[in-house]
Parts: sequence; C-alpha cells; structure tokens
Amino acid sequence: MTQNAIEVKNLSKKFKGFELSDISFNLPSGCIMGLVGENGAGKSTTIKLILGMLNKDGGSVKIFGNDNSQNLELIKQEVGVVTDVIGIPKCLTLKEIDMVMRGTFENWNSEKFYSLSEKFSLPEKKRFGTFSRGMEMKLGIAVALSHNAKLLILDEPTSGLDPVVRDEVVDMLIDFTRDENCSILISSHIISDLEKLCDYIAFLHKGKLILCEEKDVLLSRYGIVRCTVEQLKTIDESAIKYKKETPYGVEAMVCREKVGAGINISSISIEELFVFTVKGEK
Amino acid sequence: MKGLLLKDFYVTIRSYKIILITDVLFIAASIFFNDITDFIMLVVACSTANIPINLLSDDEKSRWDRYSGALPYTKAQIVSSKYLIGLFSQLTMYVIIVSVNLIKGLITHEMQFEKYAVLAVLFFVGMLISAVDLPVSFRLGVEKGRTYGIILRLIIVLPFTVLYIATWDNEIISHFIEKLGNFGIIAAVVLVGAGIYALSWALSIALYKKREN
Repeated sequence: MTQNAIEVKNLSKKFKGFELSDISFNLPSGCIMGLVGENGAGKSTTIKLILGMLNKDGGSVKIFGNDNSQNLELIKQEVGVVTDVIGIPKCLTLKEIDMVMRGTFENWNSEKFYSLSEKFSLPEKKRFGTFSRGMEMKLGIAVALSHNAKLLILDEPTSGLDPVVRDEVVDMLIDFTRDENCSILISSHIISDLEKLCDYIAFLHKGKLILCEEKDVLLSRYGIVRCTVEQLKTIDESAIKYKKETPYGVEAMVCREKVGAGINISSISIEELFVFTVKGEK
Repeated sequence: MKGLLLKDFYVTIRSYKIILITDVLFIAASIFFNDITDFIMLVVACSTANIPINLLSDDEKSRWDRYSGALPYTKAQIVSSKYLIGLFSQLTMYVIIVSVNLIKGLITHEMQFEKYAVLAVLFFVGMLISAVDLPVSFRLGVEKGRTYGIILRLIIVLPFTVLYIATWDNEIISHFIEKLGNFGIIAAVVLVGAGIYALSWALSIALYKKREN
C-alpha cells in the first residue's frame, strides 16, 4: 500500500478576519502537489499548520503517517522546507551555515550542500546578508535538498526569481521526485510553474479548499467553449461551470463529458481553470 | 540543539563582538582602578545580560524565529539556546574577572576574597535582567518585550530597594550577613539566582509554546 506523505483532515484555523475551514487532502508519496490560491487564500497558513508553526483549532495532520502534534522535530528531520523568506542570519557565510545545519540535521550532507551551492554559483566567502533575492532562495533550496529529505514543503519558492532561475529550480524539483519515495507540497501563485511540475492541484479560495484533484484528470475533465450566446444555450446548463460574456461572444468553462458532440471544446490551462473556478464560486 | 547554539555563537561573535570587547576592556581597566571595580563589574554584568535579548532581536530581524519553526527543533530547544548562551556568557565574564583579580592579588599580595561575594551579587543582577526580559520578549517579541521588561524591572526592584533602605542600619540583618560570610553570600546568591533563572527559563518555554510565528 502506498503511504501518503501528508494527510490533512478537516484542518481549521481561525484568525481575526480570516478562517481556514475544513481543509482535507492527501499527498501520496512520490507525488507533487501544488497549492494554488490568490493572496490571502490560506496557502501559507495551511503550510504553517502542517509544519506545526501555527496551532490548529481543529482537524489533524499526518506526515509519513505520524501525527504532527507528536515528535514533530523527529518528523522534520526528513522534511525540507523553503519559505518565501529564508530566515538565515545575515552575518553567516556558507561555511558557517553548513556547520549550523550539520548540528541541526542528523543526515546533513555537507558534500551535497557545497555541490549545490557551486551549481547555484553561491559565493562561498560572502555573508548571507549580501546575497540577492535569487541567491537567498537558491540557498534555501540547497539547505532543503542537503539532508536527504523525503518531503519538500515549499511556500512560494519561485516568487521574486527571474524566469531562468525559476526554470532551474523547477528542473531541480522534478529531479528530486525521481525517487518515488520523495514528495513535494508547493504553494505558488505562479501557476505556470505548478503546471509544469505538479501531479496534483489543490485550489484554495478564501480559506476553503474548492478543488483537489490530479492535474491530468482536471485538464481532461474540463475545457473551454468559445461561441455565441445562442450556441451556448444548446449546452446542458449543468455542464457550464462558469461563463463570461465578451464583445465577441461567450467564453465558458465546461465539463467535457456533459457537452454533446458538435461543440468545439478547447483545452484549458490550470491558470484558466483556477480563475474560472474562483469566479464561478463567487 | 547543537546547531542553534552554534548559530547563536556565530551571531554573538560577528554582531556583538563590540559588547565582548568593551567588557574585556572594562575588566582590564578594573586592574588599575581599584575603587570603581564594583561599578565596572556592574556595567560588564548588565551589558553581558543583554546578549540573549540582542540575539532574540537579531532572530526577529533576520526572520530566523520563523525559519527555525520549520527546522527540526522544539520550541523548548529554541528558548533554551538563549538561556544557555546567557548563562555561558555571564559565567565566562565572571571567570575572567575572578581570574584577573586573583592574578592581581597574587602580584600585589592583596587577596580580596570579599570582593568575589560582591561580584557574585553584581552578576546576580545581570542574571536577573535576563530572567525578567526574556519571558516577556519570547511572548510579545523583543520590541514590546523591552518596554514591558523595563516596567517589570521597576516593579521587581522597587520593593527590594524599599526593603534595603528600611533595613540599612538593621542590626539583625547586618549580623546575619556577617555570619553568612563571603562564601555564604556567594552560595546564597548563586542559589537564589539559579532558582530565578530556572523559573524564568520554564516560563519562557511555556509562553513561547503559545506563540505562533
């Protein structure tokens, strides 16, 4: 039986003015799941709750089958985390960061850390405070990949990076999941990155999980119809998830299997799927 | 835990070496200015007491406080690293001062054992500062913690000051201190100081567990 890397069940957290409610999803081992959502949708809150950085109000989180409310520090030995801000003290150099992490992770691999640092062209003698935003993120990724982690949890790792570096990071993450025991949970609002990377997509909107499905299933299930208002009237209403009138006609997200023959359905991107789903929810 | 201590050690050496250098200069000055040794030691104890709070402030600025939450550390370990660094730096300074005074005493043939009792009291003050400031800072953050720490210090110090003034000429107290002797004073100060420090440590852990980063 394949073990899930992460199991989230009815997770909830209430803040003043925001509530994350009843989130449930599983991330199977060896898979990549993308958490998609607008700013303030609850992506970072979900990740923080999984990592125990926030205290949950309800629900449960299991990592590698273990409840995250017990012995989380042991579980985290096998988890690599990259957050949008890499909180390494600015006065440290690569050598000192290596020493600190060697004292932090039981399976820390200095050789791998230096090889990744070299690959990312990170300066060995400069202090972390002098690094550019791109270099900071690369260092965060190098740290996350240097202790034989079985799970990577990444919160907006590609934000602020130029397209070339973003592409490098995405390739590195794909490499990471070549090992079927390694999984990734990644949040981003750069949906094009997630489209390249993910096996599963979870849509968060205003603190609610509105969709969680295999990416290929989503892309095959839904499509876009561009037609006139009259043509749209011939489609079963239950097939239409969202429609938008434009000066040239109508654009609608439809469930392919409910649309009869003779209607031209274009493929949909994850970004369009997300935008239409969110708008359809409103 | 080792990683946390190492990180704090590097940050102390890199960012707060000015405090350490100043402390060492003050200690060196105490060799030549016998009359103001106690004052110098109080300055050293107070400036050293600020190291854990400064480290905590640095953690907030660099966002290490948030990042460390994603690393395999418990909140108790994160708190403990600051208390251990505080203890280690205070003890190091005390050992340096005592050693310097011992060497001075050997050279001048004037061993002042009563001085070590006074020094112990001064370092107790240093430990007390950390013990008061750290729990509030762990709960509210360093910015707010510093403000509340000052208020708390006043609340704690005020009754002791009143008690001290009221018993200034009290014969029973004087007799008690005399009877306690220098080593007795050192032992009492160490015990009370260690007790307060341990209580503060436990309180910080409990408060930091409730804090969400």
